[in-house]
Amino acid sequence: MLRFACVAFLMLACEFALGQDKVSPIVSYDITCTFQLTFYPDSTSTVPKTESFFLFINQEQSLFKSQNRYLQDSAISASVDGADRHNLIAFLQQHRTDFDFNIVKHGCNAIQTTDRVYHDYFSYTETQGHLQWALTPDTATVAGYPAQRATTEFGGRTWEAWFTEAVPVSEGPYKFCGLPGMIIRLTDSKKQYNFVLNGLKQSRREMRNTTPLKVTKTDKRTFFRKRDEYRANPIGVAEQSGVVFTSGRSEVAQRVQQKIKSDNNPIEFFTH
Amino acid sequence: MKIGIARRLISALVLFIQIGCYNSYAQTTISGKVIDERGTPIPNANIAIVNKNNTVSAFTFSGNDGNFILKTPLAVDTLAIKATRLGFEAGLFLLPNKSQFTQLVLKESALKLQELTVKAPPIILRKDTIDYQVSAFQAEGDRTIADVIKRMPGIEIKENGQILYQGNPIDKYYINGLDLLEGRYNLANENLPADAVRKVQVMENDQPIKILKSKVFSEKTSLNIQLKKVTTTGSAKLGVGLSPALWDVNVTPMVFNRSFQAIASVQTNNAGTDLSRQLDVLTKSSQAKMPTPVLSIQSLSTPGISTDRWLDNRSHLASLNLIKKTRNQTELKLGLGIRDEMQRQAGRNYTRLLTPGGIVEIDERITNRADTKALNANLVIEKNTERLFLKNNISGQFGQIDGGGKLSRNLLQTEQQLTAEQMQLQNSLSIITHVGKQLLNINSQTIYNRRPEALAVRPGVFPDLFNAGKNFQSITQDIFTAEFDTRNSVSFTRQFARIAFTPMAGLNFQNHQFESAISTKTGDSTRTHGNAFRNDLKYLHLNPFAQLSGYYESSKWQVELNVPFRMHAFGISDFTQNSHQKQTQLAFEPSLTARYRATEYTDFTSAVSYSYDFGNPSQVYSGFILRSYRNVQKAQGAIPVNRILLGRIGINYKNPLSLIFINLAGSVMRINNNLQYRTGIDSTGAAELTFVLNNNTQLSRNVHLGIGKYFGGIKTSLKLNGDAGLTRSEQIVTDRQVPVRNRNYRVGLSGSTLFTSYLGVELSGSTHFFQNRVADQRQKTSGISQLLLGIDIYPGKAHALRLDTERYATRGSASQNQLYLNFRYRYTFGKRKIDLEIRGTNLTNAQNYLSIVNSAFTIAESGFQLRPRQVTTGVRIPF
Repeated sequence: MLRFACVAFLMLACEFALGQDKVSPIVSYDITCTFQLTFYPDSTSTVPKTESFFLFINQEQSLFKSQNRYLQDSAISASVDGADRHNLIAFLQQHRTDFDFNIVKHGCNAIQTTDRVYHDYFSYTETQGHLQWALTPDTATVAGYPAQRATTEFGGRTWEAWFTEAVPVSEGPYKFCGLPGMIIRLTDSKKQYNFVLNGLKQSRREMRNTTPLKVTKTDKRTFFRKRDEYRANPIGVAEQSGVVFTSGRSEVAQRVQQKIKSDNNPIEFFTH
Repeated sequence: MKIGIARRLISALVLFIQIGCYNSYAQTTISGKVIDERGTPIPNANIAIVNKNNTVSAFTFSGNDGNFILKTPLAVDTLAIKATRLGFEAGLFLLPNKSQFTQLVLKESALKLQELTVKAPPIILRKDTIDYQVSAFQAEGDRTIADVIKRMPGIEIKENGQILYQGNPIDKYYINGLDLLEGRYNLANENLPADAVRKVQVMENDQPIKILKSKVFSEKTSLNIQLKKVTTTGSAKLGVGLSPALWDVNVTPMVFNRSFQAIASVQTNNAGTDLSRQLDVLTKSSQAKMPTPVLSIQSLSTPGISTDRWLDNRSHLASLNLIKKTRNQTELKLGLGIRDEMQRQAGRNYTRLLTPGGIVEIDERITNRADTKALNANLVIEKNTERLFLKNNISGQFGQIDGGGKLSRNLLQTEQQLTAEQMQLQNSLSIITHVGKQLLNINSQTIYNRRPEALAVRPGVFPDLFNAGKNFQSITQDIFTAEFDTRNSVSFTRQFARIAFTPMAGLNFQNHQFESAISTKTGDSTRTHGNAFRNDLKYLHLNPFAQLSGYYESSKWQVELNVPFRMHAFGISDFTQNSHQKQTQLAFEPSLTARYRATEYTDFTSAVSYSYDFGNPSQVYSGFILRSYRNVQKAQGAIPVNRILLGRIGINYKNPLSLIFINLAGSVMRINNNLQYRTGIDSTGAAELTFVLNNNTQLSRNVHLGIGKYFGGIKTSLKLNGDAGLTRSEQIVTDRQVPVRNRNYRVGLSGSTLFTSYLGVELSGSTHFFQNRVADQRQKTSGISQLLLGIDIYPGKAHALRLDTERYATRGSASQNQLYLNFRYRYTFGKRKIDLEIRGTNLTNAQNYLSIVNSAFTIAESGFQLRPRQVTTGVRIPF
């Protein structure tokens, strides 16, 4: 029962995603990049995790999201309502991700992030000039491309980026962009987050814009506050949103609390 | 040129002065507009000032109107400005270093980017599943998936084809998630083209029964072959050779669809390919195996090397396997196999027996021939969903062995004739379903075996025993065995928080009938011997039991405890002795298994169990049985009671990033027996084995270490395996109880590399030692070492050459070094990759394989006649 309750609790996060908008416009992208992220979600642990990310790029915009989030979205939009829901949920469980965001960049000064807190979606934009790059004269070959190093401060971390002019797009993983070439490697100074380009393919790919049905527009400060509130009291937030625990509430709380405790090292902290 | 240098020097000087005096003055501001050839502004273009070494020193982006402003403190004459934008050719503009307004015109073009292809890492670990990418391990010369699997770190393939993962045999072999072959996986593994496979998955702690997933602990490891697509595949091989005339044909088509799979195979050869392995069940199956016959012809110990060096055969095999998965998750499986085979062996056995009366030497020259016919059929219905598991497996196996042996021992000719007919029918049913909040699990298995056997030996042996010391013409031993076994159990599983409890009740029953008679022929008269040489036994064994199991699981721990109470009631009626004995024994057989996952890569396993074994009913007979021409046996008529205490502990480490796999396991087993062997050996070497009531203990310890490492950069895999074993037991040798200690050591190291596309090297060496000590007398250490070197050369795309050298060194009472050489040339052509092959085996024309076994009281040397030098040519077509 307890197990079931926990699974159900975590599953709710997937469930709501099923009510996704299905008539969003189709966007076609010209370049598909994949990045491999190695990261330490628990700063007290020495065991790293890895996840793959997609960066889709066209002339006007780019979209950055985790591969599993992408697969989840594709599976949801491909599934007929109600049919084979069991298989779908199994698929979603198999492709869990630690990163639920969608980051759409219309150039480096218009970055919109859609992210989740429990089962609500919020979107916010970055302040202009959020990245102040300092170029260095260091060069190296990264993933087979000639690359130059640049550094910046962002989200409470000092980041080091290697970019290449061989791919003349001012793009990069996460919210990073604004260099005269694509960022193909991005590491924070504590080496807790490390993105490396491991694939680049130039071919047309048409994609439906899979933003969830109900997104609350907000600002970055509010989003981070909501997230902290949830982390401080996940069960309370869940109950507020209508979840009723018939039994084993304390065990679920303990488990969720533990999970959150071991996820103490986010990629970005709110800084101002 | 000179002017250029002079100008540069001057400008450097000017720069120096400028930096020194007018630092703020040095900033240049370039403003401008990026447009295309038609004059349309280009927004979001990247404008950068590049240095000589191609690094960027300043950059900006054009606005929506194409305008930009770029400031630079650089003090050079000429600024190199690079403007780039996706969809345009990069433009390099050289401008004098002064503040100015400029227009940068970019040419529209479909830019071709330097692409980067994702190379899947060779091994990916996801929770308990490990994916091995076939392309990362496949060598040019690999044809079947078995060729590739044997290179994968953490996986080993034994000589008989059994696949081990981290030292333990796999429990399931799936193809695209379906278990088509029910453990007879050599058929797929050795015939499925490697090119059809995308990846090999190993699933640790796999619970194949869906309804039990995350409810019942499983230590099982499954292997899944994931194909590139649903397809028809397979291969056909045809080979002919000399001399004598050789053939080797293997046609194995396979169909893999989403809901239907089939593998059919027709194989025939006289080239030494062992076909029986294609039908062997290699997994720990709940299906009972066919018992081996009690009687035998004195044979040679078979060489521990590849069968195509020594197997003198004429074998035919046909097999058909089908699986159909219906829409409602029901699988129907049919397996049929038929084998008809003739095998011959020739050689020499030299045995030295240490007896209290002195040393007895037996020198046997052996020529044997065995004709075997075997048929097996099984039909499985399986439904495996989250709500119901139902599996019924009905199977039948039939076998007939006709063997003839000509033997000359110390120049005395002896002929042996063996016939055995075996029949086995079995049905097993398993149902698991939910009843309320509990899981109901019903298991029922019924097995019937019937086996008449006859051994005739001419001239008669053991004259003292059978004919008052006088020689006689012949002796015939007849045995008839009929066995009926049934095992049934019902259990409920209920989950309380993290603990699942399973109470179980069951009933096992055995009814065995065992009859034997010996008749001897002297002159014209045939005599059937009396009760001391006859058996007519009815053996009943009733075993009701109740068991309570608990299972605990957390993210780090998995613990299972079983507490069964069993009652064993035996009823043995010996009609020759007119005796009826009844015996009841209670048995408490607890077991505890635990697994601790220390990190994502490391886990510890351990298990302790205490159990009883009541031997085989055929060990209860009291009349003499002539098991082979120089072995006559008699049991006490008492039921053997063996108490077994087993403990094992292991550590597994697998790191898919550094591609290293390590397993280390140790076990201790103590067996308390109530019966003891007593070997009496007469001056002719004939052994008389009897069992006497005498408590004794056997203790064995084993340690196993396996390390596998793959070096991705140089495509090299290294595997190290080591075993050490120690057994201590007590034995009676002519009225004296003495301790016997055996020590076994084995170390094997193998490596394969493909550093260039032209050359592949495989090297493996192993050495095996056996030490023996009776009482305090230490026997000579015996051992065998082998070194195999295989070199693949790929001079061109279509050509492949392989050279194999094998060296065996045997050490014991005598020593021998043996060297074998084989070669193979392969020409591959066409889109379908058809291979033409020429193969030469045993180029050194080695005659004999010598094996030496030193055991407690014997030293046995066996010289096995090998296949002569042979050349075959063949064609292999993958479909």
